[in-house]
Amino acid sequence: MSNGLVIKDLRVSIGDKEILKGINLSVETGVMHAIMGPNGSGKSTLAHVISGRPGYEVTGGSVTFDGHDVLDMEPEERAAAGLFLAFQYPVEIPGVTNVNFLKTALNSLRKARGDKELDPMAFLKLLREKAKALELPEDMLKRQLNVGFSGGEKKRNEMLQMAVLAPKLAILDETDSGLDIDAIRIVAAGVNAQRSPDRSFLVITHYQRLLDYIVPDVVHVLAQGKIVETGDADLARRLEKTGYAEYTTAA
Amino acid sequence: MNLINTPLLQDYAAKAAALPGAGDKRVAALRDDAAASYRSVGLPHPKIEAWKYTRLKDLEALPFSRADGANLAPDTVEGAGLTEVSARIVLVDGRFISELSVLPTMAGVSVASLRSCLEAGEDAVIQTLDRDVDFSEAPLAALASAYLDDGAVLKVAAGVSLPLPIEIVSMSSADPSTPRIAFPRLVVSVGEGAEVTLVESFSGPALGVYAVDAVTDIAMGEGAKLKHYVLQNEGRDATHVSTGRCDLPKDARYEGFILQLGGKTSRHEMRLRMIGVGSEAKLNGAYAAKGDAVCDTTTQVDHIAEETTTDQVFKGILDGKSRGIYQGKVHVFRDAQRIIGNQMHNALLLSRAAEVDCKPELEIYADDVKCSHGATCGELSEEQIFYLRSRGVDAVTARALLLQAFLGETFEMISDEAVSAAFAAKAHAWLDEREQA
Repeated sequence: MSNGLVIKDLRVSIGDKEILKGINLSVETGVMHAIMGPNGSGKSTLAHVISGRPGYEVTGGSVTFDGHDVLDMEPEERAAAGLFLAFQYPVEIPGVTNVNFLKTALNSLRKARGDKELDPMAFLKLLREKAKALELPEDMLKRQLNVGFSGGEKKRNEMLQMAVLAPKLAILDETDSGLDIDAIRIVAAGVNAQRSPDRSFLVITHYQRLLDYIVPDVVHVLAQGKIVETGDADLARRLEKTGYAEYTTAA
Repeated sequence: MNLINTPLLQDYAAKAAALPGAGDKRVAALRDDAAASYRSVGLPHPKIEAWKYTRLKDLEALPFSRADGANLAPDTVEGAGLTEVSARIVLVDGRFISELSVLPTMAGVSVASLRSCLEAGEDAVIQTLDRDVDFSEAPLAALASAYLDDGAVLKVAAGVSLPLPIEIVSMSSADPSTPRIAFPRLVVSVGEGAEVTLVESFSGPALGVYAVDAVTDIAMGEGAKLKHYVLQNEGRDATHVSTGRCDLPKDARYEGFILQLGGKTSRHEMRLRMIGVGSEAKLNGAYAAKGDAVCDTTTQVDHIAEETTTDQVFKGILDGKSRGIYQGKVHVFRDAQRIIGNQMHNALLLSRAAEVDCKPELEIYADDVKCSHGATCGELSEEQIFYLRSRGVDAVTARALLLQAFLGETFEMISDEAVSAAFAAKAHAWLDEREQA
């Protein structure tokens, strides 16, 4: 079954506070969706809940991916099912090299899917090729995971992981935050290179700027825990002019 | 309650009279002084500052007797080596076993049993043993010296550079009928400008109560370079105490590493004295403990000469109800200007019942110095675990990877690649075993 991500009436709380108040969203295979919205609207919460980050309580609704109940899966099972979250704040892991991390991750996914592990030579070849496409210097691969990386390097490294792990659905959580325009261009080129009929995207962003480079098929506005408007790329352009005031004051 | 408890000293005079070199006044005086020191302090207790956190409960409670090495099958020794070596010295219950050892063949390197040196009254060896040693905070080193008997004497002549390490494999046997204690002793001299790598390893039967009270004395020549790596991998019922001492003269370089993975109660103590201008020491280490083990690493660094540098990084993992102790004392003497002394200790607690006690101690009498110390204590980061899991790595593997990474940073400080890999493998084996338990 391959109908992508389907979210129905999703309600999520942190402690006593309801953050998501009934989200309905379908991201079909091969389509790029963007979610925009003001700060505190629940954008990152949505990304985290889909990827299985602890600390959130789902109080209602469902999330399925290709028909499987996502909320019932461990984070690693979601990854094996083809979900990928590019973190807004990639985590530094001292003592684990980028190469070793990616090899462990890719082989874990392959194992979970019943594929043979890649031999080290084939893996290195794949890694070098993907790194080159993202203009990542080779020494970054040998460095400890995200340790001492600049903001731009961290985000590019997320894109490298996405390229190597080749997910079916990639969620980009404010990947543009903290990036200068050159870094945004490189990241966007990385995303565009990954676009394909069997891969869908959910791009979460506060600003329209990233969407100049990654043109989405569908744009949603998330405000106060609900999707309040859905449109095409023009909606994003309109928001650039008007801001989110109409959504925040309306409630 | 009388705090002074001096087991193992019954019939000391009669026993000492039967030890090698007993007729030599210098050797006899050495033993008697040490015995007197031990008698005045007794087993360590919390009132001794250097022993605030560690009690040798088995030694306090059980009737230990001196071990003689009769119970170890030779095949136990097979495979005890860690790397390719220039020489391998095997001590069983403190006895030098030449048939199990690989003796050095290169010029300028000699290995002898301590017993034979004491019997022959060798001046250099006796002088090394007779250095001004303060036993007041090292009662177990005093006890070991009271029963100064056998062990190994290693000499590397000036200017000799050894391509491969020399291993000292110190093994213990356990006697099911009575708990026994061994006193392995190592006396090392590294000549002027010589370059040597020493790997000391301690091990014994996985089960069965025994104790080891080891002392290592190292004398370095000017400009000598010594790498000194120690692996403590005793059985889980063992009590292990070892005291290492090394003096660094002018321009000497010391790189030490202490890996402690075994024992029920273990205490490894290393004392460095920076006596020569321009000498530099790195002393790093790692430890891991589980169950109800107590694992103590204590270092004492004396900056006596000016322009000396020391750097220490230690890391530990504590699981179950175990307790880890790191004590780092840095003493900067009045004339030791422009010295640098750094120390850092990081501990990871894997269970709520685990505990770590960390005590840096800086005593500074010079005014132009750079000294630092730092300590952290935490749990595995949930953020890091989630990051790895979100990429498909299962929770168990993610934790294992993070633990390996945590300790792995220390193994990178071991400049000998073969030893670095061997030590990392020992730590991985410990982590795997923990995972399966």
